[in-house]
Amino acid sequence: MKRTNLGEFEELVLLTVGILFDNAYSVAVAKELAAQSGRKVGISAVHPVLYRLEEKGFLSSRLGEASASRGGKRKRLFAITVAGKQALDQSMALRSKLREQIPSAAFQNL
Amino acid sequence: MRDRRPPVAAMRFLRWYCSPERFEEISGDIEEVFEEALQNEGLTKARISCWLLVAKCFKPYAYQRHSKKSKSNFTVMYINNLKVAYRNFSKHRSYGFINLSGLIIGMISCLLIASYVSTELSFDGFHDDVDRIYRLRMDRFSNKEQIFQSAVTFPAVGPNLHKDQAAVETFLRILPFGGGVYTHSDENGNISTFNEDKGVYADSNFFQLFKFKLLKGSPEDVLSGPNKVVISEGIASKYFGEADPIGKTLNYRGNRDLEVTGVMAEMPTNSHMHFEIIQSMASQGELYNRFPENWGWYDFYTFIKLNPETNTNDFQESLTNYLRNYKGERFDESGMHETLHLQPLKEIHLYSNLSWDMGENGGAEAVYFLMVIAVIIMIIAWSNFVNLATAQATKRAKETGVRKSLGAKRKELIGQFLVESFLYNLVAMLVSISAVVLLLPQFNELARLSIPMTIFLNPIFISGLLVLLIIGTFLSGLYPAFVLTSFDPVQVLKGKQSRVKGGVLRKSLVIFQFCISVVLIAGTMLVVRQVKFMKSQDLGISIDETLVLVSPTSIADRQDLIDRSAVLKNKLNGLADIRSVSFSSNLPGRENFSIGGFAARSRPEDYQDIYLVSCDYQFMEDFEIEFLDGRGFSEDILSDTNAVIINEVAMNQLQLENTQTALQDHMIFRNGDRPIIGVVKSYHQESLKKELDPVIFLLNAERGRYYSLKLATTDLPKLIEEVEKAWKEVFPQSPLDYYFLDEQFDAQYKSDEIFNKIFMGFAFLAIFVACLGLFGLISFSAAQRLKEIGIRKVLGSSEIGIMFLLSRDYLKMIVISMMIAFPATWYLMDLWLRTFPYRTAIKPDIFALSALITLIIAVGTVSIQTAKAAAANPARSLRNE
Repeated sequence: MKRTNLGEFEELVLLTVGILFDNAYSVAVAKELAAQSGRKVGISAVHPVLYRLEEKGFLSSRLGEASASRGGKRKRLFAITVAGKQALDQSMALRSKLREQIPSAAFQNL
Repeated sequence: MRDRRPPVAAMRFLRWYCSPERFEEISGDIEEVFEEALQNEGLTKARISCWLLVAKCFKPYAYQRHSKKSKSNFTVMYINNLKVAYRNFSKHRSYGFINLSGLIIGMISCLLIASYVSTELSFDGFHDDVDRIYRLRMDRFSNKEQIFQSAVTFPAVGPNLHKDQAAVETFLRILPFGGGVYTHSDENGNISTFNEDKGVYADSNFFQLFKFKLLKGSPEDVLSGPNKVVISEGIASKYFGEADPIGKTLNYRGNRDLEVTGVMAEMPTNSHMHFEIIQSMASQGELYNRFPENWGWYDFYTFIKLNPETNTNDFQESLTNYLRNYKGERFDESGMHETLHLQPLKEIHLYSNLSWDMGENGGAEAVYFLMVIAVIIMIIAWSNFVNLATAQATKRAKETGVRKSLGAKRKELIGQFLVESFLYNLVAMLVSISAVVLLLPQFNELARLSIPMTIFLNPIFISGLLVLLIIGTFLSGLYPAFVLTSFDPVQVLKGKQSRVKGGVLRKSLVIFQFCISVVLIAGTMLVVRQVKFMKSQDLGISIDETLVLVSPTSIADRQDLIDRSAVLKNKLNGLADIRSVSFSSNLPGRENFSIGGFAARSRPEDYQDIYLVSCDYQFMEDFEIEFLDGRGFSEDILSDTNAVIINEVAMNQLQLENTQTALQDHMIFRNGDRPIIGVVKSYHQESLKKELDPVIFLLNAERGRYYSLKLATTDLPKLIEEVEKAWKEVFPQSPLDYYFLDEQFDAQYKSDEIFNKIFMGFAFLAIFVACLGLFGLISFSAAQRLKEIGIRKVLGSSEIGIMFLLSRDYLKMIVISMMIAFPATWYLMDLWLRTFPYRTAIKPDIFALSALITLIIAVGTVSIQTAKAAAANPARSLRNE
């Protein structure tokens, strides 16, 4: 059976795809993610994640317009699916639910 | 603008690995990143990072093919087959290993033999136009009866044939008499002098016709003109050290100065020629100019190159009686005639078996024989595979039953088992290739071969391996596949054991394996016996305790040599450890090149080819040659200098009735008739693989090519020291060249002994593989009958009884195989022995012994397994269920 939960990086990529909305393709995702997180993110890291998320059904894709800067090649544009949104929501809900349950005493000695 | 594109090679690499449906987007992405880097960081950096990026993208998502087709049932099933094969192997590991080790041993022997065979077949193949180069060989007949087949012919044949026949493009003669002492003295007066035996004379086009590598000098003119010489690298460094030998002088036999005009690389081992020194044929001087008319002296290897259009059959026809054009009168006079024949250059090494041949040739039989053995060992190993696979059939019946009920077609199931046998063969082949690479140096040493490692890169060899793999897969896999897939799934799944098919085949394969083993064991014993027989046979001449000195060839003045030889003889006779010294022109263990046509006075027309040996007064006595009648040469009878002694074979060939008539007869010589004063028993000039030769002995008391010292001591180092001292005093210029006669004679059997070793080795391997199979079969049947054995034991059967029960079938098979093997062995042995003029008898003990050995090995194998099965605790085997 395929794994349907989200990895940490997968979650970030999924979120970024959502942010970019209409222009979510690998180069843009990599740039946005790098800018937002301060991590070094290359397209070779983003590619497999995008394809995997598509395989899991969290993303859908279509081929976009060709542009000169890409040597006349089309780009693959991704969009979040219903399942993707559910997975994001679930993950967020789970996190905040867990976060809320931490007693404030646990942070006292930090 | 072009330069500002991403690196082409990188994109090409991407296109190569990337799956087509992903290529567009990924390459687009990469180009976009490149564009940006170009703006920000400049061209070089952008290019580098682009390369890195392409490398980084080399991941499954990019190269995996996503089309739906690729994951068809077919591939999935085959991948599953591999898995099942592996699981099956690890489940029945011992059978797996027996199968594998049998195949590996078989393939190792196969590969070793194949590498040997392909080296043998590659002989002389490196020359250009090798298919058009032939050697002329000559047959001589006396009154229609063939006397000899010779590798050499007359010097006139080459030039005249070239003149008469348009088909002959070029000719080349080689005269094998360039051996002897070569001397070089440098400016400082240092002298290096050695006795060389690999020297020849050759016509000037030697390096044009043959592609031997010349390191210095040009192929066209190194051998043109008299007294030119080409030497090998080794010879060059021996005489000249580091210095450039070109233009330097080598003195030959003290009478001729030769100019070094060329240096050649050592001749390759896969050439039938192995010369180190080649003198120009023109060095023969006055004789050379008369070569085109010389139809008498046959010591010349003559090669011709034919036009590409020549029809060799037609040419051969014109060649056969060619000599009649020039020698017709002589033919009619003497009653002898010669015919010429083409011998392809490439066939000389394997098939040539002629008198006066160049080196050891004619190993074709041994090559074919080994090929047969290789095939046999492989078949034995494949039989093991078939046997064990069919024996296991019941165990795997459930698997096939389930597969069938799930809809597998029979074709697919057969495919599955073929994949399995392919895997076994493949693994065995990979292991054995690496083993052979490791073993090759040892094998070379053992068999005195020089097979190069590069043989494994030879395309023919590689395709041979593939063929072996494919044949192996089908031969070992097809039958088991049919048996294993023949079960009715309903029966099998109901738990009804259907009878295992293939029992008859299995039995006949075991019988076959043991037949072969018996034949091989008996064959090995016979070969060993034959060599021993030949070695132990009385030669008719005593060659023990004889030290032979080779007469120096560096003294040009004949009288000087005679005087010095006499001095040496006196000195040696003075040594206490030497019984006697004798001179002779030839000795046993060497091919006699001195032969002529002779007739007796009573039958002057009847010329016979008879060998000549000249010897001194002591020779007959020293070598204990038996006189049938008459007497030896005597110092007291002056006329003996003109007398001859003949041997028994010569007497018979000359058709002299008996020794009495012989003693009254004379032999006709050019310078007068010579009386026959004695008839001796024939002795063996060469190994017992050859017939006895007719010989005329002449007296030459003054000198001989060989000085034989009969020894009266066992302290050889001291003796040799003394001999060397005496030699140095008499021949200070010449190196001492000596050998022991019996060792030299026995060296003729060296190749037979090596062959024996190889033969025995492979015979042993064949038997071992056969026993492996037997071992597997018995352990399997014991495992199957575990319960039966348990019940029998519980009911009181003895261990011996159980052992007998288990081995009975196999013993029966072994006995049957012997009954088949004995007549076959006898037939083959007889066939082989017929090739020897002197042969040992096939005694029954060979059969008895080989039967015994096979039985011991087989019974040993059987009882190890049966004893284990019989000794097992019955409670264990009966407890489960």
